[in-house]
Amino acid sequence: MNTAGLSLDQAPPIIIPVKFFLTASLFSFFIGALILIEGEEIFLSRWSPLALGLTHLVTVGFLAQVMTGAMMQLLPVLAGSPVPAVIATSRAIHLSMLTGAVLLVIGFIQTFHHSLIIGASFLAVAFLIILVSAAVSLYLSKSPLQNTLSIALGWVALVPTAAFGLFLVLGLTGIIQISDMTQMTTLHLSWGLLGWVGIVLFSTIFRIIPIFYVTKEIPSSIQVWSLPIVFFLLMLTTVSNYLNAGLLKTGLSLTVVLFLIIAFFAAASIHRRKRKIIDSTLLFVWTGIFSLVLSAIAWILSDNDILVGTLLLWGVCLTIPIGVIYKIIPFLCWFHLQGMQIKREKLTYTLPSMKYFIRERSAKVHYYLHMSSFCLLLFAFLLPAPFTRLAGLAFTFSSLYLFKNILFAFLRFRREQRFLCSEG
Amino acid sequence: METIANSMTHDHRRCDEIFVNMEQAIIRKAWRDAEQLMGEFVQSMEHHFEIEEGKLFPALEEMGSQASGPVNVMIMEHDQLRHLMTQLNSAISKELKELAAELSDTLLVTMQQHNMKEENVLYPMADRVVPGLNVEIASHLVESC
Repeated sequence: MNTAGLSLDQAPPIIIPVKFFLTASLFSFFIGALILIEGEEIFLSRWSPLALGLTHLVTVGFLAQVMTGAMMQLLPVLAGSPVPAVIATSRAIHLSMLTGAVLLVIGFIQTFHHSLIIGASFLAVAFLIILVSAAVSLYLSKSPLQNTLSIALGWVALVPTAAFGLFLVLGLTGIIQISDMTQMTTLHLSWGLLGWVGIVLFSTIFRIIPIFYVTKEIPSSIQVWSLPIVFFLLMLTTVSNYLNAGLLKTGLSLTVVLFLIIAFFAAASIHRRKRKIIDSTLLFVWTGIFSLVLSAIAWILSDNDILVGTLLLWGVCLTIPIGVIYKIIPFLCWFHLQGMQIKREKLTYTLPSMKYFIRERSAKVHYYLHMSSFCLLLFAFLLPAPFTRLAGLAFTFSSLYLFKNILFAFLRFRREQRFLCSEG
Repeated sequence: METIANSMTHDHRRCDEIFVNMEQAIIRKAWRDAEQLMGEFVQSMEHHFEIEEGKLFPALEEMGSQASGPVNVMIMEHDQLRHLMTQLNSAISKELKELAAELSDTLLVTMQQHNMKEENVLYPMADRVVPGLNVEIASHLVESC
């Protein structure tokens, strides 16, 4: 039997996802701080240096960290094959992604060309390591292709996202001439938000919701094929755009409609769940799906890019991943401790339950803080002057609270680990 | 004929159903129902473990030594689940709602990530290397229904 590379091994060391998630919450803090300091200036135009800086704080700062941290944990479970040399790989990814994001954001905000180029290069290196290590892991995996196809395509969508991003940076810095920046920007953000973020987030939701809330299976045509079709549509849109620019909007509209169908099935599955509890993960995921629908409607009905962007970045990208963090961290703390307990044969030692590491009350307080910042930001569309800065302030607190929740979970884990190791 | 993956996955879902009813009983503080459903749940889980540890895993290990790593991890996770079920049983018999709810949440997450590994990797592998075992496994599963 050929089982080369098949390893149903334990989760990677807990410090790996914790490090990515803590860094993400620090980026999230800087998002709040930037809005608090700059106020309504940021939202004057989507092309302003501040708006570009803020957008990339969300995507390559917060999102990239959370999604990579979660991937390191989910790959062994989904594919039965861990990321190769997980400690060294994750260290290289974390460092280059952190450096890249900081330099890129500084480059945008300060219009500092060298910083933009170096930042984009660091990010390209980080993404390359992620893609190669995930590809090795999936290649060695013995899991059927349909189980991992969507999540793999979601990460492949990083290739066009980063390629268009690099071209745009070269264009912005005057190294090359780009005839139509707007079109290329649309392709960059479509691949980034609908491709990478959309596909990875929804393939994770399709995995998490049915099993943790015991719902009826989402129809396999939707679960297995809808997200690869999103990828295919984006590819078609990109190619056809270069043949006929008018097809760009049509292709994107089809992709958005498909996401609405996907969101409908995800929401219906949550609604019909057998496990009737409403925990913090569900609240964050539910809010994210609702925001996705709102942003799609806003995109179809209006040409207010800032509103669409806010609903998408704040309501979806900064929201759903937090729900995933609140499921992963307590589980990892508990799982590692119980592994140790069994290995050391200390079954008389009573471990705390998962909820001990992040109390449900703390997670829900964070949800309300997060929602207050989101609502304040939406009010800012009516009255920018006080509400934008208030939203920034609320989000700064919300991010600190997230940082505290993750850190306390890790400290509680360390304390239990010490007890477990010291017990005779 | 059902594949190993299909019958074993179906059995996971059957255990999930009993689990949900048991958890609802804990939330309602219907302790007698909770105790009865917990008994049913433990019995179903043990029957499932028995098929895996007694039939499926040894058959996989016989086909090659490289399966022993994943199989050992699965057996260790069975022990984790057994330990959690014992703790939950005790919380239910003491009628401690908060503790029982926390333990049932922990049990569900642990059980589901374990099932995911089996459904995504181990069962498809079993269907490839010991496909003939499907009839025996299906008949053992029928006994428990």
